[in-house]
Amino acid sequence: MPHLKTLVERHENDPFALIGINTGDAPDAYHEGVKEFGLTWLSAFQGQAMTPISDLYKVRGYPTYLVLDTDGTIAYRGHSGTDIDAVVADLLAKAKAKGK
Amino acid sequence: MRFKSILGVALIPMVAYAADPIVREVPVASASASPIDDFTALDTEFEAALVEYTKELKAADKAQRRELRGNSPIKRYWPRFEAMSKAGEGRATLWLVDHIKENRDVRSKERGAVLTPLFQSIIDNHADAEWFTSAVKSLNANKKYVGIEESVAMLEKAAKTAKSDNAKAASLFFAATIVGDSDPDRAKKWMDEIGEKYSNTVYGTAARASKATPEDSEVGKVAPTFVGETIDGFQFSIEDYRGKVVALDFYGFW
Repeated sequence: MPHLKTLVERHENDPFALIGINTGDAPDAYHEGVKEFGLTWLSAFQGQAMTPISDLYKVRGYPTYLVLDTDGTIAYRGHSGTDIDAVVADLLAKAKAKGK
Repeated sequence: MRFKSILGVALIPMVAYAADPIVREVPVASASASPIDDFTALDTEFEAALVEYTKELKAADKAQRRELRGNSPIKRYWPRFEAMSKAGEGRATLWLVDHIKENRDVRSKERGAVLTPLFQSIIDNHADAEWFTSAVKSLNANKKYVGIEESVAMLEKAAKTAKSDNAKAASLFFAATIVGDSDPDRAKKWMDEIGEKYSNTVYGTAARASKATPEDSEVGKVAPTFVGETIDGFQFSIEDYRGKVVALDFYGFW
């Protein structure tokens, strides 16, 4: 989580968004977690009974990360929080080159 | 409580859709301070009494506890919410529904008989309320007591009378998950209706999830669109993020 915070801060001025999809926490535990880890980015809360987004993406292990390109194409899917750094930087560089 | 590390990739079992939802919709607070209405005032008073009661209960011995329980906030406030409900305040009716399990005066055998007219009243009179989706979720959570067929009939009606797409989609979704295996054709009809008319709701996402395959979300595919909801009830669509690089983090604090 501190690592994700760094990632968000690094790309503060880039066309980048980190979206959390919380699964399995009770509301109280969720509030506590947000406070403890200083979560500032958008996070969907699915709770414990209904998990439509995890089901749509067939997520089986936690954490799972996906990185999407500017057109929505999935560029990375896996479990490594550090792997996504390079993928995000690469896609942002490509988007920037295209924009020029 | 720790955040799951990469090494600790945890597996959680698939969760059945028909399970009772935990999340409540919280009405979005308006920017300007609105005067506190009678229901909000009574609810605030009840919550404060509950905090006090919990504290007293913790400090009490066995005999004192029995005495405290005989005069619990739920016992004291129930008639007041009931009176408000009878006077036409739908949120008070929803309060009764959501607190019935804590009311020891209503035995679980009697719950259905108490709940059914309450839900009927909400569906007949408050289908345009901003909290109506919460009532639909409560009905689904209480289907055992109300009766399966009766619940499905009420949800069907709610799908018609509800004002918001989200409440309509929720009604159809729960009705479809309840009839599920016993009447797959009916369930499919409702799921398809959600997909066609209300795809841009949380329940549209859930309806699509029931048909998703792992191949739909592998590298190289366009990410399946979804609508997410924050704990405060704010809804967003992944489609709003086209043009940005997006990292999705499926996580839990557990």
